[in-house]
Amino acid sequence: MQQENHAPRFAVEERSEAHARIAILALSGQLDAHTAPEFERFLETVVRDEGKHQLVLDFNGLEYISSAGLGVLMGLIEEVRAAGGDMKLASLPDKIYHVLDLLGFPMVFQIFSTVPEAEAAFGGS
Amino acid sequence: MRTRALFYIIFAVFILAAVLVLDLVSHSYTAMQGAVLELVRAGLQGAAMLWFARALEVLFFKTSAVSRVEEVRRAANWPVRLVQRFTVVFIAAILLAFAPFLFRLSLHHITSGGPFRVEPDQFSTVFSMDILGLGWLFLLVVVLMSFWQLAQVRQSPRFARRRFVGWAIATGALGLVHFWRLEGVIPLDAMTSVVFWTIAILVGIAALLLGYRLPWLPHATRQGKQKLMAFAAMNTVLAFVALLAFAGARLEAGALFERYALFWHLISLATFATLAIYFALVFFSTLFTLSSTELVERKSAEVQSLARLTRFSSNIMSSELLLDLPKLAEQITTLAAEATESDCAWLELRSPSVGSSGYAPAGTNGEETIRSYASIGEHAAEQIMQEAQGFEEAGEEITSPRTELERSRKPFVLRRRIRARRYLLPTQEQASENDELHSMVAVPLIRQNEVRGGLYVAKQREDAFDEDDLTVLTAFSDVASLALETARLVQDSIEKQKFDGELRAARIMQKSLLPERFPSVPGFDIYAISIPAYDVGGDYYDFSTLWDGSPMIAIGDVSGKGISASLYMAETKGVVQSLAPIMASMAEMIEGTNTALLHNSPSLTSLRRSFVTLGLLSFSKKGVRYVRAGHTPLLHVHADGSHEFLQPRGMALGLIREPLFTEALEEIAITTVPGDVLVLFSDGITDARNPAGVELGYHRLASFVRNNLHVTSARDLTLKILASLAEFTESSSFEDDATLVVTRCLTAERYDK
Repeated sequence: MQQENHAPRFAVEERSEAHARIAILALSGQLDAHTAPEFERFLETVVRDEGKHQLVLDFNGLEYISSAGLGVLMGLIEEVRAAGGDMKLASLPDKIYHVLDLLGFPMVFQIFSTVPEAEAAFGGS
Repeated sequence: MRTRALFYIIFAVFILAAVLVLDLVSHSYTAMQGAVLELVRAGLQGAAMLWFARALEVLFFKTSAVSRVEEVRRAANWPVRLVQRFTVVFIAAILLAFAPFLFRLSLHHITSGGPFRVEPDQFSTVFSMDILGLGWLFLLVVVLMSFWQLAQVRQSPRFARRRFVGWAIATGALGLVHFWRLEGVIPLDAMTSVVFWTIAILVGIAALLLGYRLPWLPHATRQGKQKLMAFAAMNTVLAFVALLAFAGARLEAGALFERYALFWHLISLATFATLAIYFALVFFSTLFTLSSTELVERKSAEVQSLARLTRFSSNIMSSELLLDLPKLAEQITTLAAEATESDCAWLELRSPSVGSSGYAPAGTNGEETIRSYASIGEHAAEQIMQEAQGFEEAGEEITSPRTELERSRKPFVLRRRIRARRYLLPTQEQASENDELHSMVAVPLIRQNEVRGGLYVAKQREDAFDEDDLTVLTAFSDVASLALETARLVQDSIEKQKFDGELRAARIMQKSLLPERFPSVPGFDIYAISIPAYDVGGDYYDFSTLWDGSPMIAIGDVSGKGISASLYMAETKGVVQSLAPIMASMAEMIEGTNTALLHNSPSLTSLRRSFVTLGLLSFSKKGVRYVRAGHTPLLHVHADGSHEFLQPRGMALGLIREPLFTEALEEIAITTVPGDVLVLFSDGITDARNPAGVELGYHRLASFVRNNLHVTSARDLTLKILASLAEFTESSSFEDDATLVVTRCLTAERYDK
């Protein structure tokens, strides 16, 4: 099942500067069982290799998220929080929010309507 | 069985004949000789009646040692039935105590003399007295036998035996002292009187000890306990009345019985007194435990089975075990013994032969059998599986536990009389009384609708297994056989060095987890289907029964793919199945499942990598109820064509602990009328896309149901929905697992039928 699309099915990029305290990751496309491993590797690089523990995930461009994608978030949230950081979600499309709401994610993750609001929630210092 | 009873009766008649011969040959005797003779006579009489009683027990009281699943609950009340039997015997004894009065039979009519001091006035007098005497003695033996059984229920044989034998020795000694005093072997003075009363007090203490701890009491059902209280109170009174009837001279029964069998007469008095004390104790212990035990027991059972399952699942699902088949089998066996607190366990699992399944390893030909033993010798286990005692009482044509599992496909309990040894070739230290096994549970290991073997656990105590053990073990066997099969498949795929082996294994596993039959719920027609995606997700549905007997549908979706998702799903299924019958509500059950799944995560503090969504729909007499833990909402299409998506609050399992989890959980009641349709589905359905990339969505699904409301059967309706779906997606496969559980509320006509 080779995909011949011009646009990749899923993309994630770090929008913040390399040495910024808060890492802003923008997700786009479809985060499903096929693309979740890619997202996981990316996230692990940011958290483990770059040592960033304050993350804002910008879901604005995300079209679809499957349970496998959510599993990636669950898999790392503990590690991030243990290191004193957090993972906050921002600008969720209605459909994505609906999925997260079904699962009760708003009780585990802080969700904000815009990225700056999420950044602000990390506070100063 | 008849032949056995007949043999017992013939044996008893022989002994009675021996007594008669003894009566005829012995005429002159000294006091001492007379005393010895009388004792021998008493012993023989007792033995004869014992065999009679056993014959009757075999013929009329079929308390079979084998129990099916559904019988185990009743078996918990077996002691209650024993207590009931006492009532009958007591009443019979009291009625029989009136017999001399009715027959105008009195000791005055019988003059003394002869070896046993009975010289008849008339033949009929003695004859009727003999009959009465034997009747009384028979009742006494039945009482003693029932008492012996009651004292042994759920006790370790040695412990129970020690206490009962202690009581019997004290009572026997009491009888002996009384007998010697009256026979003139020892003087009838104040000193011997003191001895007599000292022993009488010892008998009283022994009686108190017997009734002090009643291990079977908490296991009786509430109804059983109420019954028990009524019967215990009645028995206390009846035993006391019987005591008076036989002690007093007014009814002549006591005097006649004393004349007939001096020794047994006193024993009967001591027994009645003991039983009055014993049943008074039973009454009060039941009274004090009635209100609290049920709650305490349920809670502790729930905590225990949670802990056991947790330990079990997390232990066997570790990847290193799945790569080592013999070690996995060993681990499962040990854990099964631990979880049921059994003395030993063993398992046997036959792998399918090449050809029948198509995925047997290339290197092996034919069947391969995995065996594992914990605290039991291989020969001993094999002997028990081939032939276990106790079956003979089931009254069925059962040859062995192994074939019985294959035949009935259901777990069963062998409650007593196995009497097998754990080690057939015992070394010095193993050859002890503790070596004998008296009860066991056998659970079939079923894969692909075929009994592949069994998991067996056994205990030394009789009647030692209850419903909880069976529930836990059944849930275990599900997970265990799955793990074993997985391990075997993993082994195979490693051998074959094919990457798609895992995928195939996961698929087979997932398929075998789904129930084979749909439950029949009065007033509802239920159908379910799950279509796995190419790379296998973690959808599942299952049916179970709640503690109050109402049926429940569970639908779930595990995050992730492949073997790990399938294993997680198996684990969830196992936990849900084992918790369903013991939790008071679905909400409580979901909380329990969440706790169990969280406990299983590698580190207790870490949240789980993957999670499960669960939707539970129950059909009790009071109505339909729904709980949702992160699962897609329930679609309720009303008979009038309107519809709604019910989405009560609730978080997915494995994400978060109590109390946050509990706060978020909400259980709702659903009002249905005939013609309504309830649809549980997984997101694979609503997320399905057409070639243009448009998702199906909730409302299109609702319209599919609405358009087919005229279809009366749930099965046809499900197929119609799938057909509409295929039409929309222009494809017959799904990217994600797609699961549909359709419940149709039957129309009035069909309901009446």
